[in-house]
Amino acid sequence: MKIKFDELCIQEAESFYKTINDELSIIENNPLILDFSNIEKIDLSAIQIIIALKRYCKLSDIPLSLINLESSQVKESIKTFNLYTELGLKP
Amino acid sequence: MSEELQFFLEDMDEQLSIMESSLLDISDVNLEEIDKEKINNIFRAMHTMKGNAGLFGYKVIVDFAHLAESLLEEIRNNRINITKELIELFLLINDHSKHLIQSTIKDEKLDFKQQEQHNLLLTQLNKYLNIEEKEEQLSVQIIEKDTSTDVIKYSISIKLEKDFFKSGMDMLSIVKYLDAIGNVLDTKLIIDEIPSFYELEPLDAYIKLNLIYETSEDKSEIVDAFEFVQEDIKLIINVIEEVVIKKQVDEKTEVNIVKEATKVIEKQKPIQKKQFINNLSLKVDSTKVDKLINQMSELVIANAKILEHIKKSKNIELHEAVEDMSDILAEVRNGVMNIRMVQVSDSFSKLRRIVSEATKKSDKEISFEIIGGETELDKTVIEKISDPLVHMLRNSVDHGIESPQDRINKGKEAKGKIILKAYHDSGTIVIEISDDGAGINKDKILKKAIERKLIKNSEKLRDKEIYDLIFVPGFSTAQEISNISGRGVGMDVVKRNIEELRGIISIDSKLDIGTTIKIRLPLTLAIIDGFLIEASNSKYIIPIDSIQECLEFTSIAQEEMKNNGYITLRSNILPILDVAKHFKEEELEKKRKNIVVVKFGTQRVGLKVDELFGEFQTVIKPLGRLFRNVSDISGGTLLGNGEIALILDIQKLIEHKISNKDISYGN
Repeated sequence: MKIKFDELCIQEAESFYKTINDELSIIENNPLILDFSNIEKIDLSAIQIIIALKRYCKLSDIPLSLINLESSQVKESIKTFNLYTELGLKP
Repeated sequence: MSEELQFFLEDMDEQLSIMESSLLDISDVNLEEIDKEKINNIFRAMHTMKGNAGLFGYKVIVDFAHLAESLLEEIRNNRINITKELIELFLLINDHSKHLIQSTIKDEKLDFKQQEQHNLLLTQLNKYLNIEEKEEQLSVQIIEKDTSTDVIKYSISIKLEKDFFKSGMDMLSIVKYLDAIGNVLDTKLIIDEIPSFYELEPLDAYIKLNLIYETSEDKSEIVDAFEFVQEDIKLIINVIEEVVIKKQVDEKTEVNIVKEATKVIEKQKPIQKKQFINNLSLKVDSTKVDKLINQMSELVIANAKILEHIKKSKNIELHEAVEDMSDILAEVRNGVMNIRMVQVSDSFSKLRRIVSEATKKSDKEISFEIIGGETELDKTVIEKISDPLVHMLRNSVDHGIESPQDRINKGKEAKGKIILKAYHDSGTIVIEISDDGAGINKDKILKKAIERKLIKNSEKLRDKEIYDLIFVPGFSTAQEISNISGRGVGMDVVKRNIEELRGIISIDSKLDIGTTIKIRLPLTLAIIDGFLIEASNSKYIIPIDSIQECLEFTSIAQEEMKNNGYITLRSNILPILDVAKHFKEEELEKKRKNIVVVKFGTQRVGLKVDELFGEFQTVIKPLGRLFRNVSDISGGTLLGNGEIALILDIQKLIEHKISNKDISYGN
């Protein structure tokens, strides 16, 4: 699923949460792939949603992949908050 | 572009403008008389640039600003004397900083020329700083001793309160900021309190952040970094260990430069905050203000409609309530319009640089003085007038002021003078550019105009009409085309720009004495206080600031006017312009006629009208292409009953009357 926001910050948090919620209700136990290629910036409000989602997917045996976390600001957030382990990413 | 980046750009624009203005101030005075505060302003600009750029991680800007700031620090501490060369260097630094910021935020490389300039400036800065180190060994030793710094390692725990995200603050910026004034050694996000996905409230915060951090700054500086979120976090800062690190002055490694650079950011932060509190100013997107003014205009029109309808009602309470509302609306309107009013000094300061550079290119000696910089004018008007002013000032430098030798030969001081002056007059703002140069040679203009068949050989023109020829497209009497001016392109554009702003431009000149160009502009472009009148069957608005008084047009005065075209008012002659006749309207037989005495500059005219309706808040609406050539009307407005009233262009009407052209209107 390609996330259709430019940024994932507090303004988008509710919509982002709802989008994932809707997606979870559709995919059942199929893999969930979140494509961040549109995302320029991410803040802690979105990060905590992703962390909660990751935990949920793990418990529910739903394979979750976070792909295209490529923008420099997104990478900077991941690096600054040292989120490699939490998000299952390679440094 | 992010809001933060936009703020950074606006802040830098302001700081660099202050820096430029301060540099130009000190370049105009003797070096011994330089105001220390001006040096502090320049220092603060570089200091802010370094600090702000540090927050965004723009290392190339931080490094550049750091060197400039180091040199300024030396000057502030009297270890290096300020010289004309140094002022010149900092002006170049100011210019280059603008390019550097633009290219860095766009993530672009400097072009070849800018890169060359960048390297040249770095070399110059290093040269000054190295010279200082060699020349004053003692100072260096003292510096070395002083820079022994205690670096303290802290553990910082930040628990985000539930509503943290709603504060709009981004924790990433704060951590980056801390990293700029120290070293964030380790970050650990504590996520234990994040609930399960379906229990999570996306707007609530559940996160805690632990940092291991080292800095030579005081603990209070760390606390200050959280100042704007202190209500929304629980902050615990503990010292882990103290390490003494001795910094060598001559070890200007990359890391040290950034460290040194960022060290000052925090010191600067309280200064910025203090300024913010003192000025009580708020940066607002100008489109928001424009929108507010447009809505205000609609509100004024809506109020006019209510006032029109209320006339039919006999409900006294309703009348009182509507009157109260109108009064409040007028106050709100003035307040809203005032938001757009800015001092002309900022815009004028930039012109000093233009004059300074044009002077250098011309090999002339010129002093440039600004008077009335505190005068306020609508921001849109200021922006639109900037280019015309640049053009006219360049003209003054290039064609107005003579060479030092020519001036001496004429018995003048070798150094010429250009004055830019702003002041209010009759509800307008006047901007004057005057010089004590050669003046305009009327014969040359006439000769050129005849050559170009703009006028006939036999035509007798008044001075004003001769000078107006300068505004004809392509007209120039310059002997040589210089790179400053003299191509005959420009003065027509200048006039057009001024007229688009509902302003007028006039020239007065005396050979070998000097030239004064006067621009008269409306204070604002949107809403004015008007006075509603009727002549024949049409309603007109007269800007209230131009009205001196209203009189009854008595039968005695009518007799006097019949014979002379003027009346005598308190022993002075007052030319009368019949508004209905002027606009080719049918004259109505009314018992009572009135005279509205209007003034523009030093000239007065009485406007003969039928009815006086009184004050009217007037929203100026453009009249469109059809009325483009109607020079005595500056716009239109909508009255409460839906009728349209035309706004009289008083300056043009007076000009027509004085030059006796009013009778021929429309023919």
